[in-house]
Amino acid sequence: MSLYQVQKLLFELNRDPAIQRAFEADGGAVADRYDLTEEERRALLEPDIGLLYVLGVNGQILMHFAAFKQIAWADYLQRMRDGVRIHGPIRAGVYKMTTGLDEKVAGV
Amino acid sequence: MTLVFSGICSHGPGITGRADLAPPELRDPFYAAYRKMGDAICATGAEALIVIAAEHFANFFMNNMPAYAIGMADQYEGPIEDPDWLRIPRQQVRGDADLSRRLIAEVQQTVDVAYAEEWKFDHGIMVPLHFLDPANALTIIPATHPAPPRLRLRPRVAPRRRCGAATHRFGRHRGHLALAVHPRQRTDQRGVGPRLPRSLGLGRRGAADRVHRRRNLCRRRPGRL
Repeated sequence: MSLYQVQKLLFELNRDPAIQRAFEADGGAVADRYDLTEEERRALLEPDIGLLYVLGVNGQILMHFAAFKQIAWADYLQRMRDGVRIHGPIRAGVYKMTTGLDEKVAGV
Repeated sequence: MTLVFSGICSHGPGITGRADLAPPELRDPFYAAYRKMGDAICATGAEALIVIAAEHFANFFMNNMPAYAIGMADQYEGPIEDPDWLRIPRQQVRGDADLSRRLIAEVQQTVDVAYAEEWKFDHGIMVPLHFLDPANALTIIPATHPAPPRLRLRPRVAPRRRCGAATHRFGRHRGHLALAVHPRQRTDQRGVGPRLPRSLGLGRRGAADRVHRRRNLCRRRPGRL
């Protein structure tokens, strides 16, 4: 429901060095400004890139956030793969998965 | 004002940020092609470059997402990304609000274009500029795609009339188009690509020495790659 709020936090964080400094100093205080579920809040503060991916965060937003968190490219890709394995199919957004990883489509 | 150049190039952040992962035999000719394109733009004597690029949530969000926007500021900054990740230092990029205003006024005759007096550049613009205009010798006018491929909430392709009008103004683009504008050239001296309307009246602006100075700046650009 509040994927919009998760993405709005990340959008504002990604483009504003002042918010980045505030987030590094006290991420919880920044998160308090947005209407987030506990799961979303935890994913943002940890950060759990895989869970953010599964929650449906757009890759153009998530990629910049991962760079801000100094996560190397290969690690970033792996965290998204792991996220689907751990948390299941992507739940919302443009990458929403309508089938499981091992599910066959039309018998194929 | 005449369009003297049009071209398309890639913008992926890995082009600079993960350059070490690319085999040199593939990477180096690719970089050379960028430099060739930069030289070709310089050779036209262009003073301004309209960069129609993907915009990756650096400026617009789902609370107010324009279908099509053009920047209208005297100065821009970028990249928004971690400079160490993109391997492009954060910098100021020169714009021209007045030139933007005149372009926008013309485009608005037929296209529902939004304007933005603030615009932060992301890799979509910074990566091409890193190669094409590393000395920021050109005035940059940023523009988004008519139909940003962010969220498929609207049709991927803009309505025919709007898209058609936009491409009439700026030429067809599907990738990342750099359009160079030479304000001094008379509109009857056609360069490469479509002409901008005579009514923009940019022939009054610019001076020959400025063109030459910028050409020299282009030649002196640092050999980063």
